[in-house]
Order: sequence, then structure tokens, then C-alpha cells
Amino acid sequence: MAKKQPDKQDLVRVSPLLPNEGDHIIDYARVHLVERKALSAIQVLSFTGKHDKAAKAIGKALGIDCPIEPGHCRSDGKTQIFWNGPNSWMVVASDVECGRAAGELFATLQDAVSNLGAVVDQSHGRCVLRLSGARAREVMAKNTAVDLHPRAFGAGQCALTSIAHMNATIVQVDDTPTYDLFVIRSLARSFAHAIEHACHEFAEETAAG
Amino acid sequence: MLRIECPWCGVRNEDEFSYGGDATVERPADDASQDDWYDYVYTRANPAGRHREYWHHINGCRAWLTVERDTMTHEIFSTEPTSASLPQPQRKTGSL
Amino acid sequence: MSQQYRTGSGGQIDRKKPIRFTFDGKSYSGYAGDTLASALLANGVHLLGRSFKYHRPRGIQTAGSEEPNAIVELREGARKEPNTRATCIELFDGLVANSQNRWPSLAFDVMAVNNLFSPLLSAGFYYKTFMWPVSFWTNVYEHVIRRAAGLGTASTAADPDFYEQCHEHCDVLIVGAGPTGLAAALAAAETGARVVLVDENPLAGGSLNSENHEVAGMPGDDWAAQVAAQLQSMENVHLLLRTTLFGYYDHNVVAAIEKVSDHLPVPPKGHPRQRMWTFYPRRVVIAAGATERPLVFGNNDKPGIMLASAARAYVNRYGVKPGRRAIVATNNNDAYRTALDLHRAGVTIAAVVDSRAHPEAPLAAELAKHSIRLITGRTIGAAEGRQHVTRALIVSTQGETIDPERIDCDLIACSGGWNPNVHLHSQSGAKPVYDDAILSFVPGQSRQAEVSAGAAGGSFALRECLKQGRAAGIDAARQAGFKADKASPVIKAHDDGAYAIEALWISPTPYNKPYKQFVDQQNDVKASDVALASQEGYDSVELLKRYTTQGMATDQGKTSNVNALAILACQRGEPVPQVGITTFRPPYVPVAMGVFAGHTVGAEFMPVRRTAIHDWNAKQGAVFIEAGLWLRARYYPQKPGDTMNDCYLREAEATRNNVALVDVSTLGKIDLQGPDAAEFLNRLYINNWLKLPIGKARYGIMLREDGMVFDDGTTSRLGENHYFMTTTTANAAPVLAHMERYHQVEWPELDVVLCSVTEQWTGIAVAGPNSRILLEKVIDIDISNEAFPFMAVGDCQMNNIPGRLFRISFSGELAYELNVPADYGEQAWTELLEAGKELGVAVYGTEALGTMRIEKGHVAGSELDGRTTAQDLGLEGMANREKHFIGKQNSLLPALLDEGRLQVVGLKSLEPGRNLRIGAHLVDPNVQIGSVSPSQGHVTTTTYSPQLGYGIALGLLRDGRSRYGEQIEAVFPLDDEKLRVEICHPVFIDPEGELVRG
Repeated sequence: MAKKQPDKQDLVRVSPLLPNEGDHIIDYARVHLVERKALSAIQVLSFTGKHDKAAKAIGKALGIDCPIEPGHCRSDGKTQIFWNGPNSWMVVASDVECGRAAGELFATLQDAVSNLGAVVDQSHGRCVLRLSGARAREVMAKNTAVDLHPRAFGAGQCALTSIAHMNATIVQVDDTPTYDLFVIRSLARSFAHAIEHACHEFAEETAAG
Repeated sequence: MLRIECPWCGVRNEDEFSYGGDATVERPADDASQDDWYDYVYTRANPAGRHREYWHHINGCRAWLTVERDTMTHEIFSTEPTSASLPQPQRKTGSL
Repeated sequence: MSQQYRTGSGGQIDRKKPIRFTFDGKSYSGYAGDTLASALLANGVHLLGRSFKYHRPRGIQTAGSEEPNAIVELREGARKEPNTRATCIELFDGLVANSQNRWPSLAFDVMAVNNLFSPLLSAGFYYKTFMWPVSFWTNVYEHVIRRAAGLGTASTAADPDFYEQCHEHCDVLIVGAGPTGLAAALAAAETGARVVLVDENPLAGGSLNSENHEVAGMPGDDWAAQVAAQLQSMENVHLLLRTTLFGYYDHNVVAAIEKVSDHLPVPPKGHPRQRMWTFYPRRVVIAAGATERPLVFGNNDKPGIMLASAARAYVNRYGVKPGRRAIVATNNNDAYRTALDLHRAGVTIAAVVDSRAHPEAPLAAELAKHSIRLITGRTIGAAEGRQHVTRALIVSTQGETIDPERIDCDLIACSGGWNPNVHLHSQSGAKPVYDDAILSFVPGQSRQAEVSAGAAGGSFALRECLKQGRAAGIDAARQAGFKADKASPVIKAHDDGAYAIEALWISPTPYNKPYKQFVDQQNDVKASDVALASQEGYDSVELLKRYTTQGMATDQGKTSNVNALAILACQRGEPVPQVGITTFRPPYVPVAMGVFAGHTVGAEFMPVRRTAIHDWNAKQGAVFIEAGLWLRARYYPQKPGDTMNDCYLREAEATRNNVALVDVSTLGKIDLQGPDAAEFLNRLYINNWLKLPIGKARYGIMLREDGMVFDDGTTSRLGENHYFMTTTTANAAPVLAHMERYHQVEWPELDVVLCSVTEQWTGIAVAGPNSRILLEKVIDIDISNEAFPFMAVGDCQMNNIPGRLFRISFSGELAYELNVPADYGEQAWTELLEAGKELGVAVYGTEALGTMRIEKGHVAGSELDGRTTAQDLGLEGMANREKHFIGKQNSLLPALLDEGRLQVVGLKSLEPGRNLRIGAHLVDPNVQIGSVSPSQGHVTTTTYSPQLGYGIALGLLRDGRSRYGEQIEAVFPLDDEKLRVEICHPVFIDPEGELVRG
């Protein structure tokens, strides 16, 4: 059978939260919430006894130290690798920002990891929100029991936990603080609603507070 | 509210975990007698005091843990990874 | 005249900010800083409500959260809140409050007649009086009791405000910002520890706001304000006012309620009304102070009778004279301060009545200095007055019959001593112990990381509170790992005298008349009720509480518990410690249900899962159904007036006769990889998995260890060591957890990894005889029957969308399932519809899906109910008994193989136009036990079959498989329905499966 020619527009990734234009959800003076759209999110799971080798292989392939310590995240500013369970990492990047072709990150990791583990594409399975601003920590405290105080949690750390009763991952990006919040795609709207709701208290604030 | 220390993730609220039952019961061999298999499914000691039990960090890192807990006071004496073949936690524990 | 009881100056009120408010329809004024109670007292209003049982007039007993009497309905309409303590309501402009538990009016209450029938309403009257006849319970007693007894009424309108929850971790949590708590917070904060300080008042300072104490060379309230400001400016301190710690739970988790907007007419935009805090402190310092207890004398519940400390609070903090002519009655030193403070504010002190024969000399001297009369060795035997106290009858504490002295008054300020607030300590699992020196319970051995300090620990003197607070703050910080080398110095304060008390638990009554001596005013429990309970054998504290209701309801007996125990001890002729104390349980104060729910109410009650095709479905006007957390399209109305039946019949016919799409994204999907993946599957499923070729799918059944069927689905082999499993929608999460358990707990030797990929893929089933024709237009691989037979799996491109195609069928038709990455899900769906336009492609929802699965006899959730074995479902032939699998041994238990088990059958309606009902019982009308035909099974799922033209169903029926052809009845007794049905094989159409293979 002859191959069908694509006769439609180019492939467009439709995000689960804001399927149309725009990515801003909350834009207050001291707290901001945006959807990070069209990311690659590749999960790597190491086979028995191959964890350290897999970490090295990933690190070498991406030029970023792959975190062995639980609850940690490494990034070169564009590509993040976060600890995603005892035998698992999640590698996250915007292909556009990194100048990678679609599927390239997956292929790179598959080549690198080879028989040390499994490489699973979760890019379409996650919604990623970026929460940032002087009030971001207070917004988080309304929805998670994890201690995000600077003495307990800082940039480069991550937590697999539950946020507003939904499984989610918190990755702290910087000390603003800025958090990337990962949740499964189907819950995107309920999740965003809970975070959004927690922001409203700060709607009237000015930048000076 | 119990606070359970996941060896990987640190201390977390009970609602991140799901209870996995008695950890002192051993799954019988494939060819064990029907009585053994019956006991494995249905017979439990229900002790008052120290007890080893499984908890699954289901809303976290998804590791299965073996927890020693006092069923009377809820005091938790230890929390360990159940699987020896998963990479073991490389972290300092005990933080809140 | 307005605010005629206001003092000329003083108090922590802002006299420049008058506030208008309404009580029982009448307008009053007060000042910013007032509570509703203080503002009413300023206006001379003492009568605030009627009591619970006897409908006696009640006023204001306290100035704090322990208030048993002054409870009102606050606000109106949807915001109406019953049982609100007037002593805690901060006055705001336009406040509306109403008294409760009275009819038709507060001054004239018909139910006050209960007071005359009080012999009928003694302890345990519910259990005694309304016993017979039984039929009276629903028709008479309940109705009467509900009207007569009970407090306020709640609004039935939806709450227009929202509530939220918040979490905070800290090193030291300090409960109470009185002198002890402030000293503790300062000391702990200076070590650098993360400190949280909570107080239920809008101001820090606790008792310092109600007393004329001097601290650090300044008035106590000024010092408190200064320290609070200092603490607030420290980055490691979080000071939360209007926040009451109400629960101490396991593992040192504590919960508090913050009244964010209760002091305002309505919450500011974006702000909650209340917020629940969960704290995770390393150490807790309980500096919750102490609560004064009243004296137990005749008619001690009359308006105008209040605690001595409350009278002090009203005059000092609020600038309100709670009366013009006062008697101060006490059994301890503390109340002398009340006499002096009232006197200073211009209230006439008719007498100080001290039950002790020889109070300390300096106290007497101080009164003498102000020419205040002191009566010793006597106490108040009873009060007189109708709706307000007018006179006190003074009797000897020895109880000899003498003519009591009558003293006129409009205020009785009484003190029966002080109870440390041991509630949180008790909630933490510890047992308070009795302290003879203060005649009350003090904290015992700690069971969690908590310590009580100051008045909460039984030390009432100001200097001692400041000293203990500081020490507790330093200790707590140290134990949390901080160094306390530069801790602040001890705070100086004036000597407010030592506390001394002599027992007086109950007053002798004048003339030995049976005056009502109230112990628990909120529940109308009298001293005689305690005595009666004891006589009737309810003489342990826990029984006493439940029999008399003492200590229950909104105040939880804060002012009454110790008096009740002591009176019980007197009855039993034992010392108080032998009687013991009830266990305190959360919450310490009433907590609105809304705050526990937080913002997860209404549409946000549960999170909602939406597929990538959800928006398209919604635009089409699909009707959705909840499936777990998922919203799935149930059916698609095409024109106004389309019923569900119209839709699913049309959708099923389109599928059977042509081609249609259904969104199956909700099925669980699990990715398994690793050298031992096949072995893992082989142990998990009852059938064989070791020889599945790459590029093929297989249907599998898994059991639980008890032999019952757990879940089913297809699993495909994508590569040498790579498998892709699907589960039912409902069991996606449980199956993954189950697999993780076996992977980690039971079979760690198997080298396999697994993760959920449910969310990565949008699943679209393309079903119907024309499905191949449709797909061939858009799919880049050969899907002819030869190249892509039943159960084939392969990667493909659909137009330019990458995907994976499965030749599987749930409908029983020729069908395919296409998986595409979810962000392309809607595009794939619409492109398939576009490509199928000329064929007349349709879409279908779960209702048509269900119809077709019943016609095909596929078991699903309603048959996999956790009580059915593979044999019950007719699937035992799939099991490979040569290998081991989960549940194998227990599925062979004799009871699971016996005759008489319920087995899956098909059922046909024998009555044209009538369908079976889910849940109907299957009975044989010829078999009767008595007048009843016993149930032989039930209908699990049902539909009208458009293919067959009559109602069909699946059911579970005793020995069903051997009964095909038999006729039986499906009965639904709730609606008195009966239907003749025929038992048949569960596969109604295409039993040989030719269609799916075609």
C-alpha cells in the first residue's frame, strides 16, 4: 500500500491546559503562573544493577550530571534531569529552545541508555506549570505538605508528592522562588484551578508588597 | 496523621502512602500446600504493639517500604526499602 | 441612652471609631475593639439567650472562647452562623446577631415552661422519659425534642465564601501569645529557630490585655504589643493572630483554624473566610493559659453573674462596667483583683465574699484601704432575680442553718479557682494529673514533643509565667537543634502575688431549698444531675459525661469539667484524682465543616480527568458520565429532544452497520521493559505469555491472591523485551500498584521496569465493517487481513501523525484501536472523521459501547466485582495450570469450585418493549420459602439490543451455565416490578467471532 502524503497542516501540539494561544494563567505583581507548553519529557528507568551506569550514560549524552541523590535535579539552564523515583529519572526540555528536532531527545537517550534501562516518552502525558514570584512559596503551602522553606528545599531540588490531592512533582528552578510543577495531562485543568485559586489572595498586591 | 519517613523522599504525610498489609507474612512457594496458601491470604495475627507492615509510597516515589510501627501508639521505629534490587537510597535521612 | 455602662476612659477600644450593630432587631453602638459581648454589656444588655433544656434566661459568663451561655446566630441569609460565641465575635459595622433557642421572643419564651417540668428532665432523661411507646419516637418525641431542645439553626443556602488549607513546618510552635508565649517566642526566635506563634485573639498579650500588670517597666498590654511587633519583624517568626490551635494529633502534627475574615462584614476579594493550618513542629510549647471556673451555687446561671476574670476583662480591656453594684465571690486570691479593678472604674463593691475563713492578711488590708467590705468563711448560697440577678443570699460554708444575709447587687463576679488549659496536652495522648496545691489538673508526663509552661502548666504568677516561658522557648529551640548562647534576659515584671485556694466545690443552699445549682450551663447540667448519675451507677467520669451530657457541645465543658469531677468525687467520697479526668479530643473549639473541606467543594470536590478529545466532545454537546475521576462522553445528541435511548441505538447501529469512533483514552496503559518482562507477565496473568510474538497482542486475565478475578485487558509485545499492557479504566491505578508490589516485594529477582503511560496516548477505537476502508485512507501501513490480522500490532503514521495501531475489538465488529501522542489526539480524531465523511462515519459514547459489549458477552466491571472467579465468568479455559500464577492455589479452594456458585449468563426479555433492570434479582417463582422466592442471582448490566430487537442483559446466576433455555423472573421489589426472562449463553451475537477476524 502506498504511503499517504500528509495533506494537512503541520503537526501542532495541543496543550491540555491552554489549547489555544498564550501561556499565562496568573500574572499578579508577586506571583505568576504560566503553562510550559510542548515540552519533551522522557522517563528513564534503570534495569537491576545498572543504575549508576545508566546515570553516567545519560550524563555523558546530555553533558549534565545525572542526579543519583534522591530529590535532586540538575539542569544546564535548558535541559532538566530530575530524580523521579528509586530507579528513574525524568529528562525535560523544550525542543525549540534546545534546537532539537522532535523525537531527537528520545533517540539520544535511547542510544545512550541502550540495554541499561528503559526509555519511555511521556512528553504528551504531562502538563507543566511554572509558578514564580515572591508569593510562590505561600501559594505552594496551600496545596502541599512538603516543606519548601529555603532551609529545607532550594533550587536544584525536587519532590514527588501530592499537590491538592493530585500526584505531582515539584522542581525548584531558582530562588525567586520559581517552581516547575508536573502533573498528568488529564488532571491539568483541575490542577491549575487549585493553584490558581491559591494565588487569588495576592491579586491586589503591588510589586512592593 | 502519621508521618512516615520514606528512605528516598524523607518524612511525608500518611496520605502520600497506601497501606500494604502485614509484612511478617511470607508468600508461600509455588508448590506449597493449599493450607499454606490459605493462611497466606486469610490468617493474620493482628498484634497490639510492634508490627512490621508494608506501605507503598504511592503518591510519591512509588517505592514499597517495610515499616515497623507500634499499632497501639503509632510510633514508627524504622522504615526500610522493601526491594533489595532497587537502587538503595543515597541520602541523609531524618529531615522534616 | 447609648453605652451607658461604658467607663469614662481606658481600655483597648478605639472611642473615635463608633460601630453600629443590631441584636434581635434592635440597633446599638459600640467601638472598634469591642466584642459583641462587650458592646452589649456597654449598652446594659445582659440577656443573650435561653438555655438548652430549661430555656432559662442566660447572659454572659466569660470574656473568651470558653463561653457556655452567650451563643448567638451571627449574620443573616446564606452567611448565617448559629452557636457563635458573643465573647469571641469582633464587632464590625453592620453586624447583625440574633438570640437563639427562644420562641416567640427572648424575654418571653414559651418553652421556659420546661423549667417547671425540670423533675422530668433530669440526668439521662432522654433515655428514661421517651422510652414508650416505640411508635411515639418518630411521630411525637423526636419532633418535640427537636423543637424544644437544640441550639441555633444553620442557613440552608450555599455558603458564598470559601475556605482554604495551609501547611507550615517549624522548629518551635508556641500556642498562646500571652506573657508565657511571648517570652517563649522571643527566646526561641533569638536562637534562629523557625518559630510559629498562634493566638486566638486579635491582639497578642493574652491576660496582659485584661489586667493592670506592669512588664519591663511599661503597662503589660504595651509590652505585649511591642514584643508582637518585634516578633513580626523577624524573618524566622510567623505570628498568627485570630488563630486557634484546635487539634493535637499523632506524630506531633497539630491543626489550627485562622479566622481570616470573620471580623469583617465580608471577606476581602480573593481571601478566604477561614483557613485551616496544619503545622509540623519539631517541638511544641503550650502556653495556652488557664480558664477560671465558676462557683456552684443556687441560680448561678442568671444574667449578671460572670467569672471574676471576665468582669476584669470587661472593665480593663473593653472599658465596660458589667454592673453598677457588684459582689465578688471567691475561694482564692485571684478574684481580689476584680474587686479592686471594678472599684477603680467606679463600680460599687457591695462585698467581697471569701469562702476561706482566713484569707491572707495583705489581701484584706488592700480591700480595707479602699473601704471594701470583706466577708470571710461564707459564700453565696443562691442568687435571686428574674431575668437579671438582683440579690445574693450569703450563707456559711459550714452549711449551718442560719438566716442568710441578703445583699442587693446587679453583678456577681465569682471565682472557683483556675484550671490550666490541659486540653492540647491531653489530646497529644498524655494524662493530666491532679495538683492539690491548685485544686486542678496539670500536665502529666509528655507523650509527644510538647511541654506546657506558665498558667497552662499550673503556674499562675506573672513573673513565673515570663520565666517559664523563656525557659521553655530556649529548651524547645535547643531540642530542635539550635544553640541558645545569646538568649534574651529574663523579663522583669511586677509581683502580682501568689495564688492560694481552698476547696469549695458546691455551696450549701439557703434553707436547704432545692435551688438549681448549675455545673454545666451550656447543657443545663445541675449538681443534682451529677449526684443522680452517680446514684444510678454512672459514676465513672466517662459515663457521667455521656449520661448527663456534661462537657459536650460547643464549649466542651471548659468551665464545667473540673467542678463536675469534684462534685462526683464528693458523691463517691473519694479524692478528685481517684475519679480522674475525661480524655480531651479535638477540636478544642468548634470548627466549621467548610474549613475541613477547603476549596475542594462543588465542582472541585474531586479532581476531574479529561481526555484530549474532551473539548471536541463538549463542543459537540456530548453528555458526559463520570468513570472514576474521568469524564467520558456517554452519548452524542444530534438534535434537540434526542434521548439517551435515541442516541445509543443510533450510535450502536452505525457501528454495527458502518463505522464509528469512540474515545478509549481512559484505559490504563502500562509500559513494561526488561529481560524478565515476559516472565513477569506470565506470573501475573493466568494464561501463557512466554511465546507471544513481537507485533502481537493477547487478551489476559489476572487474579488476586484469593483467586478472584482482578482485571482483564490486552497486552502487546512491542519488542524483544518490551510489552505494552492495557487495563480497564477503573483498575488502571490498582493494577499498577499491584504490579509494583510483586516487582518490589515478592519477585525482586525479576529484572523488569514498569511505568504508567496512560497519559501519553490518546486511544481511538475505529469499529465497524467499514473500519478498514476508513483507516486505509489515512494509515501508512498495510492493514489488509493478511498483513494485519486480528490481534496484530504495529507502528504507523496516520496522515502525518505518528501512532500505533492495534487490531483488537471490544464491540465484536471488525475494529482497530489507534494510539497517538495525546497532544495530537484531537487532530487525529478530527482527521479520521474528515476522512470518513463520505462513508458516513459516526462517533459513539460509553452507552453504545456498553450495549455492544453486552451483545458480545464481554465481561466488564459489573461482572468483575471482586467476588467472581475465572470459572464463574466462564474464562477458566484460559488458565494454564502447568505454570504458576497469582491466585492459582486459592482459586482451587473447594468453596470456589463448588456447585451453586453464581455464574455469568445472558438474559433475554420475554416481554416485548420491556428491558431488564440492573440490580434486579433473579428468582424462580415456582420455588418458594414461605411466601418468598429466594434470590438465585442478579442482573449485572442491561441494555436494549438494536441487533436483536429486544432487551438483553448479563447476570450472575446460581449454576447459570447449566440452565440455558430456562425461564425465570427478574424482580425489582423496590418498584414492584417483575419481568419474565430466558437464560441463555452470554454471547448474543457472532458467537464464533467471525466478524472481528474478517
